[in-house]
Amino acid sequence: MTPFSRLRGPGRVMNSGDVPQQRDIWKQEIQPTPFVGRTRNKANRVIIDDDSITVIGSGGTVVIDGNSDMFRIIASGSRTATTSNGDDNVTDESTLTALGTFTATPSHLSYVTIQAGNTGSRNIGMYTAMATDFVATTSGGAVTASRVVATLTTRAYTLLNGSDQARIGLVFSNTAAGNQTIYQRYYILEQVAI
Amino acid sequence: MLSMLLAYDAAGNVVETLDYICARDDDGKVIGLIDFQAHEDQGGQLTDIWLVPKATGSGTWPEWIGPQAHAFRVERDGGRIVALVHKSSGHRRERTRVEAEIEVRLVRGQGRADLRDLVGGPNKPMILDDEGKTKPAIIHGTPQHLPLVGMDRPSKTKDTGK
Repeated sequence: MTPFSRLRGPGRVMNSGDVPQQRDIWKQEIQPTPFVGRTRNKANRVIIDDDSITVIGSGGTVVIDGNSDMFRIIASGSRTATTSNGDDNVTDESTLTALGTFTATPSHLSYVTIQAGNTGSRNIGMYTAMATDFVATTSGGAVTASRVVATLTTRAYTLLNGSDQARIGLVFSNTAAGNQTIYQRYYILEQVAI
Repeated sequence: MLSMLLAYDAAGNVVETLDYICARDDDGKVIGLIDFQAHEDQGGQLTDIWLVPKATGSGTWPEWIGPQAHAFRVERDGGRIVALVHKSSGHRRERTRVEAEIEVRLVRGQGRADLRDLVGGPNKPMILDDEGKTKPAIIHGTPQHLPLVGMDRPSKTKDTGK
């Protein structure tokens, strides 16, 4: 059932099968519906229809429109990984078996950081520690040019395993950052990542 | 009973946490939340919920402390996590104390209670200090002198947490 069950032109009611005339000025009329879907609201201000929700304010305006897509988080947690000098594209993963299987990799929102405290920086999906080193611009040449190099890189990802279960992970490389703990906070979304 | 999951390594260090995970039907639609506590109480394998290769085990914890859990190591009695011990300060968070307070509130509320100040919630962890103790959640709202559109600023009411 839709709350917009009729369109009313000036002076007459038109049904959905009527052919609109260009001279008609259409006004969309919200039909107050005492009962939609599974929930009844006395003031007809909350309409729940299947998996969408609409809240109508005191002035008749829609204040929450759940028909539009919203991020829905189906799993949330945190992870750590330890890294040391020499790590090269090391992966650290977990599998969320309770989610069942997927036909496509789920989307995610992840923060990564090397700061453990509550007020440390939070980087979306990736973190890179850099240093300025001197390099040669030609093979065997003089080491006189300065370049910014990555000493630690990490990024978060989701993917599916061979059984189509969701995996959440970190991949990292560490050339000169010393021993570090990487912290990840993730939110797995219902939306797929395609 | 809703709870979070903690995965720990051989030394008891918390290596991963899980605030919650949804159950999905065969169409991929969310149908509810997995009850970690009930599954653990029934002797279920927590690997049915998650696989954490670097962990030697996992268990439920009745508070939500999010990534702050990585500052703790677990103490177990049998297969059950009974305490979290802060790795720097040694401060202990005891399971029996939390569960006893939950029970007191449920009795007082005749089966219903607001536990948010006691256990936090999924994606809304309690805030801990550097020693692993709960900090009061004191924040300050928008400065009072800023006007609001179309309305007078609502009067302050005391939040009783009930």
